[in-house]
Amino acid sequence: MTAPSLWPFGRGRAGNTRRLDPVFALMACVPDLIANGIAPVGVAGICVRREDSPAFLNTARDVGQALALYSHEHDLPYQERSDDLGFTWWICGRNDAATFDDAVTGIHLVADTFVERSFTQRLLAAAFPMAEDGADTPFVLVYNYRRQKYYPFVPVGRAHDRDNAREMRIYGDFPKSLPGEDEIERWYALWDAPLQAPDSNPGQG
Amino acid sequence: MVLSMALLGVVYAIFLAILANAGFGFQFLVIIAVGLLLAQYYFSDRLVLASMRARIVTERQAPDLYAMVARVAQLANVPMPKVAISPTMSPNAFATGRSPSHAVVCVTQGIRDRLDPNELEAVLAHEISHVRNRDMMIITFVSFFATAASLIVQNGFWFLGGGFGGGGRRRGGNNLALVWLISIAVWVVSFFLIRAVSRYREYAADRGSGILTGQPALLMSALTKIADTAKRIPNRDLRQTEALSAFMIFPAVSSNSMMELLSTHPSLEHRLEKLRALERELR
Repeated sequence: MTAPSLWPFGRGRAGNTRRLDPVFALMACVPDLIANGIAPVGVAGICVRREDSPAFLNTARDVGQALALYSHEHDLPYQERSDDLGFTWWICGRNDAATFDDAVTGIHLVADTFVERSFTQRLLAAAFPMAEDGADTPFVLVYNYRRQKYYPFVPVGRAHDRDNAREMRIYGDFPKSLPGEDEIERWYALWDAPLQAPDSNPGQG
Repeated sequence: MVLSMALLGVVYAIFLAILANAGFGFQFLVIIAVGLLLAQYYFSDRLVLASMRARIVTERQAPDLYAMVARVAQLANVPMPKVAISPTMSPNAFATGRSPSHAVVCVTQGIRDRLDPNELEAVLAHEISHVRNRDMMIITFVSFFATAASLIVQNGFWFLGGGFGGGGRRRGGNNLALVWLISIAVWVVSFFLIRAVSRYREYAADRGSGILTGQPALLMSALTKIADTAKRIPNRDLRQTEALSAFMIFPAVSSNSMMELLSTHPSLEHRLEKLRALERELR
């Protein structure tokens, strides 16, 4: 039985933005990743737990507007998607590594907005499709907001299977600059994560 | 185990007394917490099965598995539980359901492929021991107050400042802060006690399996076969993990609602040690 989190509170605005830096810092890690054979596909996604309160819905709407503005300025496609488990995803970017920095900034904008409105606990994870040298299929680089750590996720087939061996190998290739999740019991899956590149027209899908 | 439960009982009794004394929206809290408890109690099995993409199977669909479960259930003197299979190749097994007459035992395709029939039977005996011992109900019950405490802690202002019943507003901020602090303490303490209780339930189910099969070595072999390092990578979705349970209307879809064969605690080594001791005992 896993234990509930002991510290659910945000630490105040400044503290929270510091906590979120590992996502922003991912951009700085990209050269190290590439040196180790891992390259961003170009898409970035963030997963947020939905809530039916007016405050949350307002924030989600403001997020949409902020992203719309950012996407317009930077020619960055984005899309808001829902899943069956009560979570909303915002996906930014194209299948083009050159958009990765903007895509990461886009989802950082999403996260920051939720933090500002005291919804830090609703942020679950960020996810980044990554290509691996010599592999046919990409994998998902998952960032867990609670643990503030990264780990790989390689779904296989349709029966919710993972390629654990490949995940372990990829983890071995993580550069030191990327904070990795050492406890493999915490490498939770993100089944059927809606990480396809948004429609080519920037804006809400 | 008795000590943990007694300590938990004391903690909760103190908690309730303080809540009642503070006279804040106690009724509202109770309604919410009882609501969650009932929801978890009644819907947990369906939600858990859905989250593992498991399907209930009939005797015709899986005759060997069904017969095995039936045999163990009869040995354990519990009603025949429903049998479910999860298609994933990661080996695992779990039991869920609010009482022995509403139980489901689920195995993954991975564990069916991986283990010999005898070992699988030992695993089923472990899960059915959980059913017989009513572990689901026990864990749900002990989690109840922890959930209530966590609700207070995380939604403190809503409960304590909002005028739902009681004389909360009149008594002023000090009482509310005190209750809030007490809730944190309750939460922390119950965190550790719940872990102790659930660890004990796992040992008890292992023991139950050893006694039902008469051969603890079978369960030892099964656990060893499937608990190698790579398989410790969880199959559960991040969106369904415990940390969010306080926010979910049905905290059911968390590890609270099922007794999983491969849990993080207790460690495999400790479980094997106890099974070895049981083997010596039975000889």
